[in-house]
Amino acid sequence: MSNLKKDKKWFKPTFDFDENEPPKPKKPLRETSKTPQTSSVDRKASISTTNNNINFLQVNHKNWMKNFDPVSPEDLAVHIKKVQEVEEWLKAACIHNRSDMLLLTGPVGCGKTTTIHTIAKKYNVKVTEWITPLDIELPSDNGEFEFREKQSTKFLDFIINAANFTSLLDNNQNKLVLVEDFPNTFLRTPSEFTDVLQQYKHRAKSPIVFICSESHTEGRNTSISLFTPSVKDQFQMHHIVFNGVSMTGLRSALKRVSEIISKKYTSVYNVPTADMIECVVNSSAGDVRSAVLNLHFACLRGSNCNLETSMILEKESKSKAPKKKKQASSKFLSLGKDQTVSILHGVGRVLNPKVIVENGTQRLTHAPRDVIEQFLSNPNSFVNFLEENYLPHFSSADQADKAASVLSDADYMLAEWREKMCQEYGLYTAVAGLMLANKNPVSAWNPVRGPKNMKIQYPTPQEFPALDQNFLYKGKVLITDYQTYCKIIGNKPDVM
Amino acid sequence: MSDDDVTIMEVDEAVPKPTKSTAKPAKSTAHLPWIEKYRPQVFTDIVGNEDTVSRLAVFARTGNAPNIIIAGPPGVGKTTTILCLARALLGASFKDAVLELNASNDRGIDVVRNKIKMFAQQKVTLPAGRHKIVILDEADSMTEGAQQALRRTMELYSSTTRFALAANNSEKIIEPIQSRCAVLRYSRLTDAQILAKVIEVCEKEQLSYTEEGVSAVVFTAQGDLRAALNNLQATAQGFGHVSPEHVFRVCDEPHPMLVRSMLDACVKQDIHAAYKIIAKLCKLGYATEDIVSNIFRVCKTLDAPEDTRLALIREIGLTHMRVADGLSSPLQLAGLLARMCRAAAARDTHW
Repeated sequence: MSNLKKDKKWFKPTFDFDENEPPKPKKPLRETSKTPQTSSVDRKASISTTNNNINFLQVNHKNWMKNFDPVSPEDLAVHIKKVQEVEEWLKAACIHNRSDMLLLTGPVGCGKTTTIHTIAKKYNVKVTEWITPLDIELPSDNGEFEFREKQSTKFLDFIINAANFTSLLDNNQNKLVLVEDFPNTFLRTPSEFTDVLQQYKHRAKSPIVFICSESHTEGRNTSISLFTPSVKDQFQMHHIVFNGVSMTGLRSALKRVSEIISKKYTSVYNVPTADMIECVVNSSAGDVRSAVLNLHFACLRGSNCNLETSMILEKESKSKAPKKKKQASSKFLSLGKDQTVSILHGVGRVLNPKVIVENGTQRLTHAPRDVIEQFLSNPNSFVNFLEENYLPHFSSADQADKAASVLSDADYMLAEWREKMCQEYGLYTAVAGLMLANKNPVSAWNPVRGPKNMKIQYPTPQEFPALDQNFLYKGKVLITDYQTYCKIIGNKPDVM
Repeated sequence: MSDDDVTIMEVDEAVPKPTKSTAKPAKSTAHLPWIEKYRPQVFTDIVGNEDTVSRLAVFARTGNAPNIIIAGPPGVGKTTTILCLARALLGASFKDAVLELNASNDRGIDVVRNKIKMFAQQKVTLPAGRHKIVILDEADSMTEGAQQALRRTMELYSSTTRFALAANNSEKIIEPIQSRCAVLRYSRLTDAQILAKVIEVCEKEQLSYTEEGVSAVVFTAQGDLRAALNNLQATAQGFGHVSPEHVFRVCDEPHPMLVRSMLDACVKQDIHAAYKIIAKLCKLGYATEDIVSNIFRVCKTLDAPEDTRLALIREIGLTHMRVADGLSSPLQLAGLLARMCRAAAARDTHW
């Protein structure tokens, strides 16, 4: 709607309007992103009112998460090399004032947007972000309502204006255009996007940054459909791939958060313990945003229940590909109450079944029924975890054979559209089957691994021809199998 | 604009507690389904998942709630929790500051882009630490495109608007959204929790009931409190008395005792006895799918060794899949019986 408007700080709103008025594209409110004005205000305000909880709450109420945003590049949890790479690109691009292009890709929550914002702040570069506006229907000449402007036209106008014209207010020569929210029309017709890029290349005088998060779902992967290698070549686009945040990075980021908490927020939040941070680090799978969010949730003061357990519970979903380290996963098994079994805990229970003899009959200490209750809302990821981890726990090939057969049944039941109806069968078969098949579990310590090879990798458009050649593109099944095996074969142990 | 979206859930709730049904004019609640009449209005009334609920209650007091996703099976109180949270946070401005959309509303890309954004941009005067709330019920049925369109909106308006999503399957929610929300998991309610609630409702409605009748309601509900209350109301309206026969008549399910004896026969490898029961059920006109899912429910609580149960459930699951694929002939049921008998026989050698 109003994304063509620039920052309007020159009039003072008389009513309590948010300082981060959303439609203004200048300041995105990503929870991990940085808006220094507000937090410096926050900081000052909270220092002056440390004795007064009520006041201080009011100061920070707008967006709690922002209090923990990184201030300088050193605070970023992203790998230092990547930060440097982005920094160098930005420096070079700003000097030449050319329409350089940068593409940032990476998993969800690895700090792509934050990195750009933090570095831009450091070099005093003004970031203008495109936000897909509302479609407004305007009456046309014959009285009918219709969309006047094409999305792509609006988009082009916006990015070129943002790149070429300096705001009256800050007189800042260095500008940067940021696109994260791609208009839908480009997803439907990528060729339109190429045209827009062409125009931009010719007319604009500022660098532009595109940010795409990678997801493993079918279709809608913007980085693949929009930024094909030929597009990248044509526009000499610099491509920086971010990885998930490392354990150490996460840990230091959370340490920073806990320092902030202990300095300013002790009235509302418990200071997180080292254990708690460790748990969050382990279960957030390289996702800083969810890690901070979960820490927020976990150290909330006022709930009397033990924090660790419930914290694990709420993060199961994020552990799609967690990188477990030794001490951590064994610690996990000792945490958690019966009602709140984490996914790792659940995996441990299933793979190390304990049998007790009661009145002459054998019984499992943890009934499969109770285990599956916990995972009804994410059956597939749990079964994937079991599949990844079951083998080292078996001592004989016979039993492993049985386990493989129940898992295959479970997979079959959970496949495709049946999932909704058959999820309980599938889960039960997998869980009970594994527990019963494993007569003498290996007692050695086995770390729980995330199911990294289970993810289906859909081929990119440019890979199609290569696969077709060998007659490999015969439906989804073959192609997924083929690619998955290639991945397994090519998998090196040191690659995370 | 949010008004008509909200009122569906919010029927005439001037009095915060539904427990005071007598205090309200009889007219207002007499024609309500019990699931609405007894929908909890405050956190303390919510059955089950106490840990998570108590944590949310803290947010309700202090504000600054994060975006949340509540995932869990149907009928465990996901929507109720979110509504309670919204009510506790917003109080009187509930009607203005809540936008509720569920699967029955159109939630394509356009709605997410226009309606939700428009709502997020609206100015509503709220106390500090309180935010407008967008409730997306059954979020797992949203298309991926719509979810993608949502993710940036979520951040852009995070200073004014919070999102609360409810979903049965959290895997259906795209990762970028999961990353922006605290995911809370609800587990199924235990039979004891449902039993207590059902009895409470019976007493409030001054209903005559037998203990078996109430447990029959609990059995038909399978951890789904909403189903329990619906079945209870249906029984009460139809017969005025809750006894097992009435409950199974109203819910029109194969009687679990019959099914149980059928399963026992299978475990004893007596296929004739088992088939007689199945033939009877088929003759009564039950659909194959209903019979199979009923067998599964009974089987879960069957008093048999775990390995027998596993073998049976595996066969039932495979049969259910065939039935779902469209093969719902009685032959499938006969085949199921035969395979169950064989599984029971083979379990000593197989496992």
